[in-house]
Amino acid sequence: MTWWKRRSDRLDADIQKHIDFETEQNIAAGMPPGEARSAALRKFGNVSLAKERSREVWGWLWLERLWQDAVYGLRGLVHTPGFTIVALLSLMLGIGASTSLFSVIYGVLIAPYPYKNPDQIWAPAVTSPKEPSNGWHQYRRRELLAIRNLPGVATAMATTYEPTLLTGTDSPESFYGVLVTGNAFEFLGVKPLLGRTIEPFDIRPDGTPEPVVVLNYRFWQRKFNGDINAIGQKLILNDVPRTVIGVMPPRFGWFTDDAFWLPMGMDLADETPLNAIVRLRPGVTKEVAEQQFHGLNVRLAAEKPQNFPKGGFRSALLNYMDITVASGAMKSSLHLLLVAVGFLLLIACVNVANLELARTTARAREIAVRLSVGASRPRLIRQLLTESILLSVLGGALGIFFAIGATRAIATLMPDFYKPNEARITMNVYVLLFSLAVSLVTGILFGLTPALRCSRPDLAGTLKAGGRGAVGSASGQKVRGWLVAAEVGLSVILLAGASLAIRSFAQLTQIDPGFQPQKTLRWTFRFRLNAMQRSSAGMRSLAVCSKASVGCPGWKPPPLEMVACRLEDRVRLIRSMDNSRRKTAALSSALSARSIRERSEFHSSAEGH
Amino acid sequence: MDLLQGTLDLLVLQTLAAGSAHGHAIAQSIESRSKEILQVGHGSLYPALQRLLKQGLILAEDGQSDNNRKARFYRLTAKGRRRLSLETSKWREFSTAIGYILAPPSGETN
Repeated sequence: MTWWKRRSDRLDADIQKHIDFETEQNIAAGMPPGEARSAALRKFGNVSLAKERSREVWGWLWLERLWQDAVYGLRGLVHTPGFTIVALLSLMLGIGASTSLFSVIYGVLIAPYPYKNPDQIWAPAVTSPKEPSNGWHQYRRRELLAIRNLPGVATAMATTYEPTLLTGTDSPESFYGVLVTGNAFEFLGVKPLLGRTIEPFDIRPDGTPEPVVVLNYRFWQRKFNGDINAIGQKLILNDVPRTVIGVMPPRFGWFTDDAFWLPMGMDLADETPLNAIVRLRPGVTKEVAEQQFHGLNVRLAAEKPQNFPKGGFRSALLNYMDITVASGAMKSSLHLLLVAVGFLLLIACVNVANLELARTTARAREIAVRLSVGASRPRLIRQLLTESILLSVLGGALGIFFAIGATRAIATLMPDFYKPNEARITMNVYVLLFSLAVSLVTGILFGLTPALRCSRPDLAGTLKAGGRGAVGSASGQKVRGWLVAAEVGLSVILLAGASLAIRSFAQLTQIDPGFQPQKTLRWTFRFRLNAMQRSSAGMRSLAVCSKASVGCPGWKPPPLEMVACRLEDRVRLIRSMDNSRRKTAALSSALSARSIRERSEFHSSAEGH
Repeated sequence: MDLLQGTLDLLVLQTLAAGSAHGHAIAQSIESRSKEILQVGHGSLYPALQRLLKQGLILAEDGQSDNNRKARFYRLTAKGRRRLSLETSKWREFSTAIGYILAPPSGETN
């Protein structure tokens, strides 16, 4: 700040010269030198006041004062470590915890998908009073065309799995390739990371698909080491060489998080069930669209009654957010958390307010002394404001660090099945700013009260009350009483809420999965079945399925490529199934399942094989 | 007699209209030209000078005083000259108006 210093020096020199000239003049008029000088000073008036006023004109004095106040405030904070530590901890926990918890809720519940307007995606469902199921009705290729022709439907896409064997690399590997209609990526509105996505022209006019493949990010990393030159290379999938046309960004996992997407051929005779989703035309309500779907479903049920529940059904549209985002118990505990977060921030604020008020009483004497020796009220208020802001800024900085750390910790510790695979938990900057603002405003507001209170003209009383400053005024006592009451009340609510949340979490972990998990092992294997039989001593029974995801919320049986055997019964082998809907009852017997047996699909004719 | 609030800036401008001067000379000139009626607190001259500098109405430069001493001289800018004539006419109007009100009532009614 040499420029600032030079200007200050020049002003000082100028004023000095002024006084010198006056002194010389006085001497010339016949005064003795000493008297001449004091007369000159008298005439000039208060020298430092003149300097300060002049510097004030420059408009930089506030910076000097701010610096002074900050240093003074910092000293004050160091001198009262108890107050400082508690206040800083409150701010840190309040800002940090509320921000990180809200970030999790935002990532999992509010914006879990990378898709364009995911809340406008609807899944047609069929429910029947006799056979409650999880609803998402599966259509056939032919029926998809009928859905697209519904007047309320703007666009519709469909997805299904295809077991795919990758060969031509070091070791053959099997995947579930995801077949999507040509409009799928446009429907979802996600841009590729590299190359292009599957487009409508990847389905030839005769309905056969082009031999192309779009890679999932993880697959691309694993198989191509993230090489950009993957585009244009060939992958041999189910003995068909397919050209890699694109790679999707990491946060895109439509139906798979480690495989690839293939264009779905439109062979209308193909009866593979598809998961269809639609977007509605603007202005079409859910109810209107549901009626149109019901009309279609009734027509389809007349043609193929086996695809629909017997004895009547209702048609509904499920919002994609509702069926896929953490639902049920998880959703309500997250909402509970959201309320708790608010309370937490509130408690932190009340705590800081209360601390500031308590300090007020302790500082009343200091402020009274400063006022009585002539400190101006605005100057005092400014100083107290600086102190509160200093405290709040320090607390806020700690809060930011805490928020970053806690968000990362929660994101790592949270079980994967609690969140959609595309959900990304990152610190939410807006919420951080909000929490910071709330805490800062609280700190500043209540930091100011000492100045406002103590500048009332009751200096004498305060000075007399003297060192025993803890007495405080009656109104101050009342405010603090209210604050304490509010704080205790909020804490009790929070505690009760927390114990409820813990209880429901405990119940969640105790949900009866329908078999005895203690005596059941799950492992992944890649070896031939008879080898497995040979090593099966000690097992009471054995079930095998390609994707064991029993017990996950919203679980749907994947297409099973299933072999299962019951060792007790002399290893009765049930042959490997093809990709049809045939499932095996052995799974349920092996798991001694109760709930699973109730799901009708497992009552199929596998015993016959 | 103390100065009215805000008139010091105008007096400084008027003083500098005659030519550049240093701080002490300005204070003395104001006192002598007011026939010693007005007492300028010399200390209050400096904030006024900083105000005028900031508004660009005057300039500061180093120079030699009459007795060949180095000092800081202040000089009117074109903008300052314009402001001076504006403020002067405003002040004339104002003092005439005050004069009308304070004048003892004459014979005629109005």
